Amino acid sequence: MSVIEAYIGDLDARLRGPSSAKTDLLTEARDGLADAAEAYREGGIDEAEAERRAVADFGPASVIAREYQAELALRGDIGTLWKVIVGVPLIQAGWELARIWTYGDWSRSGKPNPEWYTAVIELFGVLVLVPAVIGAVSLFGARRLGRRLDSVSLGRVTRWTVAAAAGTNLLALLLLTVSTTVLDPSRMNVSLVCNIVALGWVAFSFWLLSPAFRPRPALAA
Amino acid sequence: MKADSLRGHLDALLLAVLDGRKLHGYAIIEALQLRSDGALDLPTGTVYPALRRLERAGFLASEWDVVSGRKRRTYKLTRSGQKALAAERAEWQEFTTVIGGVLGGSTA
Repeated sequence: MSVIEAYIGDLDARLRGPSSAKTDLLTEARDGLADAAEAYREGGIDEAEAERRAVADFGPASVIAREYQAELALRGDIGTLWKVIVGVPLIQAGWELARIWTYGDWSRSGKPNPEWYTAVIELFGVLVLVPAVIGAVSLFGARRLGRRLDSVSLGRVTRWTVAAAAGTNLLALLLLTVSTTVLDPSRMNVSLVCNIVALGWVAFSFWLLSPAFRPRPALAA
Repeated sequence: MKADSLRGHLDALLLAVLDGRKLHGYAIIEALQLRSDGALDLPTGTVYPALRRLERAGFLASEWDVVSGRKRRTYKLTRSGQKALAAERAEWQEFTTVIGGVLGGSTA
């Protein structure tokens, strides 16, 4: 294995994050190292020494990996924010469509809602919009703050907003589920399709929240 | 000049190097070294994440291009990047004028 490939392999082993973004960053690093080695070779240095010098100029993998990791972690969080913005409203709309298609109008149950449950449904309607709003504001903010903050500090801010958006989504689901169960457990069983979508929604919510609590490799100071 | 002294200025230096042209990563590093007569001593590996950060901030745009027969990611300034560079230059001018006035040697 060449010196450059060994170095890229070392860097690869140290990085955690979305695979496409990681491949993109490592491809560019490999290209840069190949260019640097080529420049040394053109200066009359043999291939092995040219690669060794190119790698030495690039910096120790332990140090460089921190810079790359900060960027990669941030990209992962930005990807999660997009999933919140697009995914949550899509699942919600999917559940409503499934309900209309398989169950019909709520009044069909013939059971009037108590006042407190109507208030819960209204609160749920607001809470379920909050994650998408947090996500959109965070994405805009990340772009603006990225002009003032380094990747590490921005990553901390973004990680909190991901947790807030995903947490609010889960809280909304929990509120509706607990309230409906307390009122009348049979209402949880709207239809098979609705139940499948609802379970998917819960799984998606936990999946969104999981990156916020996943330990991450040490970042650059 | 060591990497620590450059850390706060790297973004501005990268924007300046890309002013009016489109370059790939290694060409940017070469341009930095050329313009500084080799005085800029920073690990070249730090330049690539910095370019991505500037792109994320909207100051740079990048794309994969074929340069000298090889596929490379090339970068160019956006309109926001041009404004940011102009602001950095004005700020630097003011800074050097003020500090130069104090350190410049006059005892008045």
